[in-house]
Amino acid sequence: MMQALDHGPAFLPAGLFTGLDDRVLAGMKVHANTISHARLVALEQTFPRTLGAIGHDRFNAHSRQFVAEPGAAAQPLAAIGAGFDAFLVAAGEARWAADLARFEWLWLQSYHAADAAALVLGDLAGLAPDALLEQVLARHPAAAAAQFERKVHDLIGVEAEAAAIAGAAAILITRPDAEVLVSPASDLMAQVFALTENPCPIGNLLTLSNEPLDDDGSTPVDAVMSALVALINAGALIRVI
Amino acid sequence: MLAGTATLHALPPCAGVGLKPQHYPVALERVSASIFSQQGAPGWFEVHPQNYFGAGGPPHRWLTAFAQAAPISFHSVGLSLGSAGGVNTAELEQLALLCDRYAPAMVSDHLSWSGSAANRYPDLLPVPYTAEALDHFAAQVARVQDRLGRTMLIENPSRYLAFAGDEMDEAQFLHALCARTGCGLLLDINNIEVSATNLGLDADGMIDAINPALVGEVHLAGHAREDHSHGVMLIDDHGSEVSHETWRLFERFVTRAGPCPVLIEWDNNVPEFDVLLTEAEIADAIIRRAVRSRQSLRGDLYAVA
Repeated sequence: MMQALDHGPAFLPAGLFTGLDDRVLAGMKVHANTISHARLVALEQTFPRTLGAIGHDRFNAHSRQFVAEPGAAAQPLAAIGAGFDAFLVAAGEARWAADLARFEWLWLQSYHAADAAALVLGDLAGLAPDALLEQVLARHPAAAAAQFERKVHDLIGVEAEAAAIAGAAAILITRPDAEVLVSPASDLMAQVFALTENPCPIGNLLTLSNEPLDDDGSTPVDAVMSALVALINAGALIRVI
Repeated sequence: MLAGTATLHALPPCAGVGLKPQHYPVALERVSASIFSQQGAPGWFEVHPQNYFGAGGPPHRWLTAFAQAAPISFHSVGLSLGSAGGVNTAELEQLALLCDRYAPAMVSDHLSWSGSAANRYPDLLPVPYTAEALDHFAAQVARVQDRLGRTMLIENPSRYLAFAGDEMDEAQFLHALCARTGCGLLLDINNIEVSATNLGLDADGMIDAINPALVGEVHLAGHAREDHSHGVMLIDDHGSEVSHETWRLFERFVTRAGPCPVLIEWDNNVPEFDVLLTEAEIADAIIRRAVRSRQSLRGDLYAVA
């Protein structure tokens, strides 16, 4: 039966089911349609922005090819979109469209990520300087930061009513409370955030201040601290006890 | 009666509805208000646990709130109990974690299979009704029940195909499965109508063949209809209101079986929450009518005696 579902009715063993051939084929078609429909709908629900941006016909054509790939059929429906962005690139889709799919996949990971109390500045208030530098931080399980094609920044900036996203170096995705939020991130914020992939003391994060002075003349330590504060305010970090 | 019945009684013998994300706010408002008035809210909710396999986020916030307000039933669609390679262990482990987290009143899955580890079919595919398949399926149900530490319900499938090698009918297979494993039945009456129509079986006979003592929950749903030259084909799409025939079969069952938890399932073209409530109210009205009918029949019997 699996052979017939994957490769068509010619692979259905004779005599497996009772009834007239037309009736058996109609029954097999119900199952084949259910399977195909469920996979395609799962992709549409995973990538609603990409669907809207490139149109239903193109999205559907890509989806049908994607679900025929060996890896896609092994995934549960909730994870069927893994690798769809890379597939779109390989399929010759516009780079920004593939990048929009990558954004949506990160957004979905954030939506379903584990709950955790995001670090807030108040948690660090009153700490002596040495104690502050020893505080170990890590990225919040629902947080991600990435750079995307400029058109993705434009689209997400409009959607989030956050114009600064359009000109930002990266987009920060967080879920400090119930809902997923997006905000602009500078290069330095992205670099600090990258260092928190593994738990890292604040003192070590400040080693980024060895970088050259910013254009605005602020001291490197001030700039890193500002980036850190911005990440904390966005709910991108947790404190590791 | 079923083994491990402590959990069975946690689902009230009245109508519940399938919980959909688009209904979260209004459904929670209604069920919270129902603490003061029983009107306007279902008696319980059912969810597909696969929709809550993520570690956290809004789905769990909502489910936590509902679980605090009303009994919850987990209706799994991913264990693939009938697969030749056995139950999907990744799904089982995730289901076990979710059961530990929410302690649902009921857990169920289907008499079906859904592919292999390398090729998952998001569908409920038919199992042959043979002694060999029964051995295999019973072993998988036992494995799940051992892992979850509780009995589960198995749902009769919607069938579009009948295996030429079947050695028993559906009720015989299901009853044997219950006897072997201690599991119970989730009787989907829409599936009875779909299977009977598609395979030329007697729906009344299928309903009457089910031992009501084994039934822990009933499902009601709508289906689509296709007219072919070779006859009508009903598609179990859960995309419309419950059919007249399914209501009739439900009344036939509850008149014999008595009140039981009954679910209104609506998974495609999902309407406003109030439409689901209207269907649930019809189910409750049928249960009440069946109770009166049973009481009347009992009174007649006493009078004769």
